[in-house]
Amino acid sequence: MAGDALTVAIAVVRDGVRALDVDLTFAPGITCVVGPSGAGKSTLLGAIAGLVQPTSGRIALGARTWFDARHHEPIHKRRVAYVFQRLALFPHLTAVGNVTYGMARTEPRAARADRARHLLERVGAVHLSHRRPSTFSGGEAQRVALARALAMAPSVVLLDEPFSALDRALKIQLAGLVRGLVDELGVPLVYVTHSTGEARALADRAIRLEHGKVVAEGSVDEVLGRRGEPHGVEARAASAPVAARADDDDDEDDDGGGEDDGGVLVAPAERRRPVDLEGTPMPEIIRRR
Amino acid sequence: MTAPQTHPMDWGPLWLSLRVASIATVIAVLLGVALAALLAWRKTPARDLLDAILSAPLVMPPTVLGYYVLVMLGRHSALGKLWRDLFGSDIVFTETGAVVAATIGALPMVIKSARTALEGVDRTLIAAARTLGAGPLRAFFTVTLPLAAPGVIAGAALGFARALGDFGVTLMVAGDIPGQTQTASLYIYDEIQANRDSDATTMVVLMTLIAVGALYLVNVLTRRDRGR
Repeated sequence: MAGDALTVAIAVVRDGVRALDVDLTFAPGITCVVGPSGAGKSTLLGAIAGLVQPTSGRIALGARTWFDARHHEPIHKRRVAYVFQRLALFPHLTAVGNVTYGMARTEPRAARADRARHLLERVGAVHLSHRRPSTFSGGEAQRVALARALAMAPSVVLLDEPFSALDRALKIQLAGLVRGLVDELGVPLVYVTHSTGEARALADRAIRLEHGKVVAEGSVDEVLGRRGEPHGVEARAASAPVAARADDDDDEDDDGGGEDDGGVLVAPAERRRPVDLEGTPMPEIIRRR
Repeated sequence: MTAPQTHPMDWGPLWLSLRVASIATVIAVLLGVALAALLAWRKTPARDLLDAILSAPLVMPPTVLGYYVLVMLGRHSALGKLWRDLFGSDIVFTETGAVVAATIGALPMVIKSARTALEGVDRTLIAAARTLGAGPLRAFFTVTLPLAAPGVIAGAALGFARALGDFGVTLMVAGDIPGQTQTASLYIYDEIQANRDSDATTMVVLMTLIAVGALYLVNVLTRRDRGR
């Protein structure tokens, strides 16, 4: 199934400075947003979710306007699944309580709990069902956060550097889960990351933001450059290729002989191969070593 | 040499104090959490002024507070008359007056503690609740308030202890009528005045144990909550 495209043509002005000025369309599928700190990535996600009110412009999902000069759709009516960088799991609720929180309350409580356990099973976290987040490891918390976000039948999914604190093996596993679940939902997913390795592995499209503006937009290779090459936009700029790659030099995923070349995270053409993960068939990106 | 006391200890003032302080604490928590939420909300106009007005009972003389209550709720005030029409009794110089006086003492305690607790809740958790489909009220009651509960409970205990010990405002608003509005604090004063130190001492010890016990219980509860 394919959902509606998300249109974001907005400006956000803070203290007289344009923090964000973009005109973007997010089709169903995964769009990675990359860029240095302060580029406006989180502001973009906040505006889509309704947490940040743009100064002007329009946000719409298909024909439904979420924001324009006359209308501001309340946050809770947008059905945007937002996985925050800090995850924001509710510490006073169990994993099941967290996952059921976003489900429609018209559904009986027992049915919601069953569905939550099923989702937790899919992300490999069913053993956490009755535990509180303070007892979760980083990877476990990520899994529960993903399950919670996707349990609400979202119209858009936003991930803000969701795997930044994880080791590589967990990143790979969870990235596969994201790919599979989003393919099933058929909705736009906006994925903010500093890791070009993650971006290459997951995204259908990529956007590079700098100083609140889009400086590159297109296929992952166009925006980030082919593996082993300078990033597309910097290559075109051809002014300071060494400096241009500086933000990736500390990116573990782009180290020479890193996971791209190591064959753990695979190229776009290969990544939809269905693999059984956690006993559940789903399309995913993992190619086992 | 004084003659040994032969009259029995009057426990009525203690029960009255506990009843008045309990009712006042419930009212102060309901009202105080709502006001704390209003003060914690960034869009509330004149927050600093409102906070100053609501905190004033902490620093104002009981006579001043009592005067305000008498003017606003007295027999000839609009509210006093409305109360009489509705319930057939007065507010002032009744047990209701004692509850009002105790609530005035407890309210700032609850507001201060609850506001700090509400403002301490991680804003990202509230944002997460909103993105998950919760309206502002549901997010408040299912995320903000449960997470602020230890602070609210602590405020309630402080408010209870404060309400239990109120003297000045109660005297102004409810009087010191034995068997009707004479709370434990007023009883101690009367017993001291009448040289019945033994009864006063008994009541002093009981009041101290109740207040310290309430505060200790809160410390235990909030520590257990933090550790869960």
